[in-house]
Amino acid sequence: MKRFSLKYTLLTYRLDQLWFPLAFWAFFVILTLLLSNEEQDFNIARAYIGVAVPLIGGIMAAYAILDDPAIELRFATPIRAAQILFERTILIFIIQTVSALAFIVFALLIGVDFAPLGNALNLHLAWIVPTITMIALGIFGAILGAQTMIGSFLVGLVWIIEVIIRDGMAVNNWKYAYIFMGILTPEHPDLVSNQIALFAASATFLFFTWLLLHRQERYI
Amino acid sequence: MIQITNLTKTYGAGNKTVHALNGVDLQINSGMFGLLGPNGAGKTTFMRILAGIVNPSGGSIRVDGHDLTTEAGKHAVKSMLGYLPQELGMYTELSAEQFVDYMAILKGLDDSKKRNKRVSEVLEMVGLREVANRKIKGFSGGMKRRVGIAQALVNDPKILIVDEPTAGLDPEERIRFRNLLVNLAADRVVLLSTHIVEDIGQTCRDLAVLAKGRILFRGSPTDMLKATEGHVWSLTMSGLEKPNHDLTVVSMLHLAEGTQYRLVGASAEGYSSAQLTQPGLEDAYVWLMKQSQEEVMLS
Amino acid sequence: MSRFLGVLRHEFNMSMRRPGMWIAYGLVLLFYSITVMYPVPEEKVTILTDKQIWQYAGQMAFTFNLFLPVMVGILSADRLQRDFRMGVRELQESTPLHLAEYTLGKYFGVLLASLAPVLIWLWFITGLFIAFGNAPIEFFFTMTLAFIAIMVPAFAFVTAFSLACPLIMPLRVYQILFTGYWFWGNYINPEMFPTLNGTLLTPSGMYSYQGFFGGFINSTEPLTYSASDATLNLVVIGLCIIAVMVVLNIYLQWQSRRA
Repeated sequence: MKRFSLKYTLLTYRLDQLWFPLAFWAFFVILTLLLSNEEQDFNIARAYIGVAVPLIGGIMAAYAILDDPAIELRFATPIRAAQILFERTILIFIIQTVSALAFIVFALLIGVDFAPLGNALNLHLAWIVPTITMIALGIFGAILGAQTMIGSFLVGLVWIIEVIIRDGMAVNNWKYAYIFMGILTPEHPDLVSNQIALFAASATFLFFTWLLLHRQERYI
Repeated sequence: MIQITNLTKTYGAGNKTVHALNGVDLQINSGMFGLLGPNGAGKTTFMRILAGIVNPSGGSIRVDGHDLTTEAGKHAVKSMLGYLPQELGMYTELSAEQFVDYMAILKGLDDSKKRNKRVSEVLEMVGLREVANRKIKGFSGGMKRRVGIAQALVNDPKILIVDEPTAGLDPEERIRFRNLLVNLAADRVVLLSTHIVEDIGQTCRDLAVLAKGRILFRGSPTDMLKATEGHVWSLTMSGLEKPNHDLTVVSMLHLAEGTQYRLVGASAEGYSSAQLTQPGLEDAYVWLMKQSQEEVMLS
Repeated sequence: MSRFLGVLRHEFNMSMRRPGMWIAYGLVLLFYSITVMYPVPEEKVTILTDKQIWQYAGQMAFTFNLFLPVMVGILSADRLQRDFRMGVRELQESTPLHLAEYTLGKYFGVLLASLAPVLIWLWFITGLFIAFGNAPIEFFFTMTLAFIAIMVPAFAFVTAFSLACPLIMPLRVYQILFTGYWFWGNYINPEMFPTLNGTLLTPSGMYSYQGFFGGFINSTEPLTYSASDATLNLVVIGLCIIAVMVVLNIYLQWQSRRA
């Protein structure tokens, strides 16, 4: 891609965007090893990949574009809004992906059975869908409010609401907005519709983020 | 090269509306162009519109034929633009070379060999070749500004926009900066925005004075000085009384015989010992601001 | 005292002027009003009994504590840190403002700004209940007490940590950890997973809700926590807040000595 450099994209990322997910991953690995119980291991694994990883991704994404010290210089270059959006969020998604996959590998190695989550595709959709949704929500909220705080607030609020009233969310019309359905209620008959709805929501958030990014003056 | 017609920029709404730019007309050709004005005049807004970051509320602005009010026009202008903003944010964990290299990539210099050569050239131009591998966080203010100008030059821009580039620099750095800009202006448009009158006087043959979003003056420093002739006086007064009679004190110096004032105003009739003096550019600026304030009061 | 009040007033005004805060509160309180609040029985308009107004007030306050502290925690996380980021702290240190005046003024300013919209909303909802004849006028009094006993300690606890922690870690890291903590520390079943929930370190208000307000309305299960448990919980929460503020002051003193 023109006007893109993976080397500098990595070098210009804040260090905490790299060490914090790693530290969180390590914490959950240690926790799993300490508790060492078949049922607990499965619950911890799905809590990490399907609940914790989306939260980390979402809040990190809220800071992705606006927390850029050279934002004015970046806006003055001929980079398209789509590229800014892609460049600043792709690493966050990659880091969360690596974290989730690494944990799955670790869990499999210690004998965790992911069969309750369905086949391999369902297993991966169970964490990919909420992660993409939260990343999209985080970055949309931040760009909409022209403040990172709005994005992180939206992510935190949606996360805590959906975690606490998860049972209620699975049984009424809110189920299409239930981001943890794949990981917490994988046998739900409307799982596919739920995932399609969440993908659509994510795409909508990203589309509006792209549109709003054209109004660069809001962010400097 | 740059054609601006009735440019306006408004922020806010209702009672809180701010007219940052209010019907600005300008034509800027190749060479060094100075934009002078007090804080809050609209200079940075103007520069940001030219840099394609801020959208104008009205009017038209064309750069080398490209319409800056369209996305395609903005994209084209950004490709030929070098921009040094007033608040220069950088990735301080990168070295000077890395930062300029990154900006070069963002500006479309994909060929790594050509890019490396160009990065070396611009760092040499700004006198940072020897510290190119040092992290920016270890740089002084002046050095950071020079990194800023290096990144602005790396794509050999046709238009160079520098917004308050010498603010906070020591006199030596300011002189170096001014000389560099004048050299660069030989074959491109350099727009220098500043509230430091001396910077304009030393570098520009063409300037505009902006205040409260409007152009108060357009011409050369010489024209500005001519318009101020007969309105600058030197006066020495003893005692604590200060000159009044609607005269602005530009400077004062305590001497043995009293205090020597440099005054700008319509007339120094009230002071028989006042002596007419050759105006400097600062005097011309003060006189211009004074006249514009009086016009506002009268209207 | 005047300097402390000055800092408090300034911080309160600054926080209240944030449009983002009002939008956030508006969204959350609207969400509560539509979905989470206990629905009024549809058969007929009933007036809550004396016991029920206490339980209902407690339940409303406890329900608000499910999510609002997360919002408060995230939104207040940058209030102290921004003074450092914007270079204002350096100016403040050159004034006669004492460190304790500064930190306490900041703390109470942020806390009061977080509590004010909630209290106004609670009074509004309570007023509606009374106006529609669902509760006697005493409900206003019990609701205010529930706010003080259940919500204020939770908000106070969250605000203290949200001011202090971002000074030693990146803001986004704190926001992630805090959001995760609020669920883990208050709403995970301790029988299923190790947690602080159920211990005296729980700031969710469950102790006060059961101990002072009688617990879930129409519940037949015995209460887990008594009034003395609730009092002890408040004391422990209070001590935590004091400890955090003391550590914050020590940290800031150490920082200025280092500079």
